Amino acid sequence: MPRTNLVFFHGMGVQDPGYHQAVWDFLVEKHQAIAGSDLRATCTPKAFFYHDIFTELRQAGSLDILRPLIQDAGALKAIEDLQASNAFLYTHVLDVLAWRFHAPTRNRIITKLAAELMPFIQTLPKSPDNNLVVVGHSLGTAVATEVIHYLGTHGVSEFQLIPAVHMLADVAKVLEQPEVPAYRPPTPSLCRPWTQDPEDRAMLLNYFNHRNELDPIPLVDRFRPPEWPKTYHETVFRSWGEQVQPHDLLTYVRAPAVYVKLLRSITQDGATYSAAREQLELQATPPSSPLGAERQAKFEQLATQYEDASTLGDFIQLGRAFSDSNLW
Amino acid sequence: MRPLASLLLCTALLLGGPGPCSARPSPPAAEAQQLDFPSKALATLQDSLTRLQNAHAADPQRDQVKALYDQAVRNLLRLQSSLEALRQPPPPLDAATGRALLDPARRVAQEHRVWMLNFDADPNQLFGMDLAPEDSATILALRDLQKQVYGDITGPPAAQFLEAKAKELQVLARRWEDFYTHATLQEYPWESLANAALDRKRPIDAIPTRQVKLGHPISGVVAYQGRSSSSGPPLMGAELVGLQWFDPDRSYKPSWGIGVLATVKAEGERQSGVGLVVSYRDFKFGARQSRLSDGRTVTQALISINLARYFDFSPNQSLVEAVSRLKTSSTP
Repeated sequence: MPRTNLVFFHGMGVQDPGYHQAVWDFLVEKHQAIAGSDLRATCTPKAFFYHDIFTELRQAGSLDILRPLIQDAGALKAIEDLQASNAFLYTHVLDVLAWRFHAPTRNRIITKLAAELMPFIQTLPKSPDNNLVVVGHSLGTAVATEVIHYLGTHGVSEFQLIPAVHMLADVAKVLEQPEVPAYRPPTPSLCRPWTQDPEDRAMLLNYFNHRNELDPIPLVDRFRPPEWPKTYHETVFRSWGEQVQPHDLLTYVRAPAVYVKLLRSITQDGATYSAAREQLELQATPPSSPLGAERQAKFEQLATQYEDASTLGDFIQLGRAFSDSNLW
Repeated sequence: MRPLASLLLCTALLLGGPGPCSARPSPPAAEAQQLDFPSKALATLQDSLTRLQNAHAADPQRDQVKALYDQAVRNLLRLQSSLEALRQPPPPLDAATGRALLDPARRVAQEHRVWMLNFDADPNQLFGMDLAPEDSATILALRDLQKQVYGDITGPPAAQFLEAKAKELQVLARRWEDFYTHATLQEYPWESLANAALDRKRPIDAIPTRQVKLGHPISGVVAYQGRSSSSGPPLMGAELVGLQWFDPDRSYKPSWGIGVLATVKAEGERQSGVGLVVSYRDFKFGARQSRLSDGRTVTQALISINLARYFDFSPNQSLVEAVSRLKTSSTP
């Protein structure tokens, strides 16, 4: 039975110390129902935090610091509009811009989290039963991408691969750094699946990309890698309801296509968590409650409007449009 | 890295080769265990290879798993040659990197990735096992072998390499923290702009030891101006452009700096002054030239407010007076 460390990278905004607890409880409950054993005996969850670094920047007046750094006129205009509208999104988006444009803050987050992730990677070669699963959500996907790339560039990939990374609402592409493109050919980022070529310095054994079709965040400049090895797995699902937040971490994990794959990575048990099991879970899940006709029409309109959008400015505007239309 | 290097040297000693270990008496128990590593690993590997060959020979489905078996044997032979090399005298060091050329210990540790368990939807995907029948004796033998190689042969050296990497990363993380605290938080937004533009293409591990100063406000006092005994009021100005070095050994606190100075027009002057300023840690020294209202040019020596405080220096005194006061006060 593998001993797994399950590491979470949170998304935008200030986070509760137990932000991963609801997801963990859900996984424990599902594992009990499906496999009949206690997940807590073999898996330990660990939540990583970096929001405090953004909070420091925010207290120092982040938009004033960031304004001259934002080398993207569209993004600057979008954030200034957002500030004027006083939307709740403003703080969240500011973190995204700080991540994208403020190099010292970004580097500080990357090095801090790389030093925190490293002990979990160190345990892997000590026994074939040791396992590590990384879960990134929203901005956390971009952070995890950079942290893993950083570890790869420091020689970790020569000796060890990370067994599985799950990206929920992957924004690694729209927020990619010029020097670390998330996957554009010839795929310089090391946060990608290993090709089994001994010279390849990729960091991952398996890359899982999960996307909620109704979530606006991963809509702009979607993460669509070209030819990756078959250890790249993509999941697209729909979850909706009048009270459901489509971008929420728990919304993602509650989708059968996501939690079955997540539990498969954690338990390394492909028999219990097979593709057939995923189908069964999907059938057993109650159908999502439909949107009202008006909201549905609005959603379709926005999704079509931003289908080919690819800039950071579009990304911010889309978030705002969803918020204004009460789709969020 | 170091433990592995010593492991190589000590292995060479055991095999009769020369090395710095030759002066030592018997090695301690833990080291003795390390010394056995290549021999033990080779024995394990040979054992596993024989078992795999036997299982394959007796496997009724062997034709279906032949490609898979061949691939596994190729991997095993590659690993075997790396382990054999570990028992040889250590290879020469590369003068540029200080690393061993074709370091066999590194090669064994790198093989670790090849032997990682691949757990996909189909648990048998290791080496493309999804193409093979699950109940094949070759597959069962391969699974055992994979676990054994991963745990006993490639795991220990990989763990040692990762331990060294972890230490490097911790040091880097602490240095970035220091850089952020002591260097970048002292910048003004427009300086951040310049520095971010310059740093943008750097790899993230290269922590800058130098930042650009741009329009950086500065205040100071006139310490000395020619033969005139009178000194001006405190001066306000800015370093138009300059460079500031940070000392990585002092948690990225400022060390030396140099900049072009512009000061606002002081009382009795026709125009604002320009000059040069040199800084060391918290202190700044400079020279400034300006033109007085009667047309004369005046050159002044400047020091920062910090330094003036250090001298117990009031703005209405010249440096000469301040130093003489300092001397008087220190005389018993």
